[in-house]
Amino acid sequence: MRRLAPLLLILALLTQVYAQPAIPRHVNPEQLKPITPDPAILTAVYESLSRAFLAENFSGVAYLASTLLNLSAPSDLKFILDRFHSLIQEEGALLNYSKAGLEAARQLALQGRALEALAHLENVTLHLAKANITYLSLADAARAIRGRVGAETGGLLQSLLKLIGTYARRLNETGMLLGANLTDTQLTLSITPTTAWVGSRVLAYGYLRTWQGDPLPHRRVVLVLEGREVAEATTDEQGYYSLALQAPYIYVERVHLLAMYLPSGDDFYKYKPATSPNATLYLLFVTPNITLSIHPDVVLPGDTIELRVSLDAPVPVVDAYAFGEHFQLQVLNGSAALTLSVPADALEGRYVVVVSSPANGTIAPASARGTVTVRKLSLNISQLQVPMLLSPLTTTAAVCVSSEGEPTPYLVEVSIPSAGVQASKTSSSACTQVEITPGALTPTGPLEGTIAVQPLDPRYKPAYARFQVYNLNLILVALAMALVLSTLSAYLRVRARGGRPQAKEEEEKPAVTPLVVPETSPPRAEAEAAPPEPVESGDPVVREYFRAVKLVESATGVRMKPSHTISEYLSETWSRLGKAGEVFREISRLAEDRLYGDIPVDANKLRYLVSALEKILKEQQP
Amino acid sequence: MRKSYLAIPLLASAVVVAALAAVYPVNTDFSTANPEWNGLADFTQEMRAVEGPLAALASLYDPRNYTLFIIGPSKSFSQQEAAAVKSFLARGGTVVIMDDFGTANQLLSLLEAPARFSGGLLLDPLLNQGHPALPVAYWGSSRLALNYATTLNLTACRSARVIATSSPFSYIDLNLNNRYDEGEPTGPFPVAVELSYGPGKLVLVADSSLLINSMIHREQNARLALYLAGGRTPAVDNSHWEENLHAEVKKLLLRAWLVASSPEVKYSLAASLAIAALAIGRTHFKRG
Repeated sequence: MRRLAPLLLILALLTQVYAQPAIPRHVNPEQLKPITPDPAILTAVYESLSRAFLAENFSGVAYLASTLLNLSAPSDLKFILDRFHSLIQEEGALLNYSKAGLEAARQLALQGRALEALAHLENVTLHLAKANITYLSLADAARAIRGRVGAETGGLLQSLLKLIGTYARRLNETGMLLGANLTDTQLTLSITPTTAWVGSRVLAYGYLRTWQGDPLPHRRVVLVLEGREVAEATTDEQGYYSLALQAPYIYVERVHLLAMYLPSGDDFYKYKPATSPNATLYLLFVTPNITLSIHPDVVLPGDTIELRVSLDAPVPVVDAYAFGEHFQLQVLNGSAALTLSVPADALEGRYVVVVSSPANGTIAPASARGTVTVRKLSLNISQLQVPMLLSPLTTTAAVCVSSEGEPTPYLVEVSIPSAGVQASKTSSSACTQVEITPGALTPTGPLEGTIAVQPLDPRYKPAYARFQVYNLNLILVALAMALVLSTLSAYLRVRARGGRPQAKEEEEKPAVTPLVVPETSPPRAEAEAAPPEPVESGDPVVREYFRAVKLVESATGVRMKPSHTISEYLSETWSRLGKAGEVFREISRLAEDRLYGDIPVDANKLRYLVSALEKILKEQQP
Repeated sequence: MRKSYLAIPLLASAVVVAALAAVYPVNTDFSTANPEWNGLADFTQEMRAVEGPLAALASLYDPRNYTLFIIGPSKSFSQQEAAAVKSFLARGGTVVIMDDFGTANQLLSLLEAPARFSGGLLLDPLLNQGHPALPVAYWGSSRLALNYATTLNLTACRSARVIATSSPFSYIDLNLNNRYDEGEPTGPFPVAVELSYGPGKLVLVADSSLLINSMIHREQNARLALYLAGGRTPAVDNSHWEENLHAEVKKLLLRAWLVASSPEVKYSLAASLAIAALAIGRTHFKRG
C-alpha cells in the first residue's frame, strides 16, 4: 500500500492537470505584449480596400480605413501601420472629392454654367494632384509594411493608380465638354389610354428633337417608371418613338412615367441630355373588403378561438397569422373559418390576428386585423402559517391557496436561503402542509423566506409571497447552556477549595500525591525511585510537616484523607487542638509556602515548631 | 507540561493563520473581494453591487430594484436554482449571464432558453487589445474589450435583440491553433444578446471577463455594465465560482463569526467569561 501511495498521488496530479480547461477564462492583459498582425489577414483587408476603391465605394473605404486605425501592434510598427492607414483614409477622401467635383462640373457644363463648372474642375485638379502625391507616400509605406509585416499591398496600389487615371480622364472629358457648343434637345412622352387595368397594355410614344425642332433619328430613348428603367426605344427618321407597355401590377391609384435621352458617342459633345415631362397612368384594380370576427376575444391559454373571414371578391385562399403561426384558409362562397387553440405557454396580454388575401391579377391584396386578449386565472395565497423554526428539527408550514376558478393542482415551493431550506410539494387541495428542515448551523434570529405557488395548469398564473420567521437553534442553545454550566461548576469547585484554582492544584499534584497517600512516611526506596520534582517527599520540610500531622492525628483522632488539602486539614482539626492549634497553623503555613509558594523555608525552624507542638500536645493529654 | 508547551505555539499559529486569512485579500477568479486583475472588486464597489448565493438572490431580491448577474460560473446549477431564476424572471426581472467556457449552458438548458454559448474561442487577429484572444466587439458605435470570449448560438431563437457583435475580422478558432484555418467560421458574431423571457429579460454576454478589474475600464466596458444593470443594483451570484483554500478558509471564518454572533453563543460566552473573571478575582483576592 505504501508503494502504491506515490503512484496514486502522481495519478491524482495528472488527473488534475488533465481536468484543467483547455481554454483559459481570461489572461491579465497588462502582461501581454502586443503581437505583430497576421500578414495574411492584413493582405486580405487590403484586397477588400482595393475592391472598394475600384467600385468607387468611398464609404466602405472610410469604414475599413478607420477600422484599421484601431488595430493593435508593437509600438514601433503601430506608427507605420497607423500612418499607412491614415494615408489610405486621406486618399479615399481626395478621390471622393474628385468624383463628386467631376459630377457637379459635368452637370453645370450641361446647364451652360461654364464658370461654376470651371471652378469645380480646378478643385478636382487640385484634389487629384494631392491624391497623386499621397499615392507616392503610400507606395513608400507599402514597401516598409511588406518588409516589416509581410503584408502585400500591391493590388491596393494598382487600384489607386487606376482610379486616379480614370478621374484624370474624366477631368479631360469634362473640360472638353465645357469647350464644346452643345445643342439643346427636347423630348416628349404621351400614354394612351391614360387609364388602364393593371396588367393590360398601353402605348407610350413621343418625339426627340433639337430645340430648333429638328428631329434626332436613331437615338436611344429610355422609359423610366417610378424611378426604375423599364423599357427603351429607338427614334425613327422623324424623331418619333413608340412602344407597348404593360401597366404594372402595382395596386396604387396612379403611376408616373418619364422618358430620358442621354447622348453617347459623338453626341456627347454635340447634344445636351433631355428628360420628358412626367406622364401619368391611372390604374384600375379591385380591392376586396375583408371582415374578420374572432370569437371569443378574451381567452385562457389552451382555449380555442374561432376566426370567421368574409370577402366580397373571388379570392381562393387567405392567409391568417395568429400567435406567431401561419395558417392558410380556403375561401368558399366568399367566407372562410378557422378554429385554433391558444398556445398553452401564451403569456397574458393582447395578441393581434391578421388575415390577408394575396394579390391576384386585377384583385389587389387586402388585409384585416383583430385582437385576442389572453388572460390567466389568478391564484392567491389566502393563508400562510410558518411557525417558529427549531433547527435542526423539522417544522411544518401550512399554505392555503384560493383560485379564481375551480381548484387546480399546484406546486408549492418554500425557500429560506439563509437556513438552506428549499422545500416543495405538489397538491391539489385548498390547503397543504410543507415540511421545512432548517440547517443544523442556522443562527438563531429572524429569517426571510419566500413562497411560490406554481400552478400546474397553464390557465392560472403563479402567486408569490414573502414571510419572516424566527429560528431557534437547539444545538447552539444546548452548547451554550453546557458552556455556562461547566464554567459555573468550575467556579463552584474553585470556591469550595478555598479559592485555589484547579489548574494550579492539578499542575502540582505529582508533588502532593506522595504527601497525602501514606499515613506514615513513604518507603525510602519508593521516594528515591520517584521522578525528580520541585518538592520531593524526602524534603525536610515535608518530612517535618507529616511528623506534625501524625502528632495531630493521634491527638485529635482526625485522619488526614487523600482529598484533604493542608488548609482543609487545618480547618478540620483546629477546634480540637486548643493551644497547639496556633503552632500547627504556623507549621501548615510554612508547609504551604514551601509546597505552593516555592518560598524557602528554614527546616530547623519547622523542626523546632514540631517539637513545640509535640510538647504542647503532651501537656494537653489528660 | 510538555502538552501545554506544544499547545501554546499551535494555538498562536492558528490565530495568526486565521488572522492572515481574514486580512489578506483572496485572489480567486471573479471574486468580489479580489482586488487583483482577475477579481470583480472594482465592479462591485463602483456599481454598489450586492452578492450572495444564486438561490437566495433570485428568491429574496425584488426584480424591480435588482438585476441578477451570473458571471463566469464554473459549478453546475441545481433544479432549485434554475427554479429560483425562473421565478425571478417571471416577476419581470432581468438576469444577465456572462460566460464563455463555463457551465451557463446547463442553466440555459434548465431554463429552456433557446440560445447557447457556442464554446468556441473567439479570436480577432486585427482588431484586438494587443492579442487576438482579446478581441474588440462593437456595441452600437462603442467598442468593448473582450478577454478569451466565445460567441452566442442563436439558431434556435425566434427573436433576439443583438446588443453587441464581434468585428468582421473575427473568427472562431475551432482547432485552437491561434491561426485562421479554412472552414473556421468568420465574424461578425453576436457576443451580447437580449432575449424576452415571459415578462422578464435574459441577457447573455459571451465573455465572463468583461467586468473583471483589468478589463472594466477598457473601452466602454464600464458603460456596458451600467447599461446591463439598467439603473438597478447588481446582485452578483457568488455560489458558482471555483474557490481556493484561502477563500474556503475565509468563508469558514465568516461562518464561524456568524455562528458566534448568534445570541445564544454570544450571551453564553459573555456569562462564562463573567464567571471565569469572578473566579479569578476571588482566587486572587484570597491569595493576596
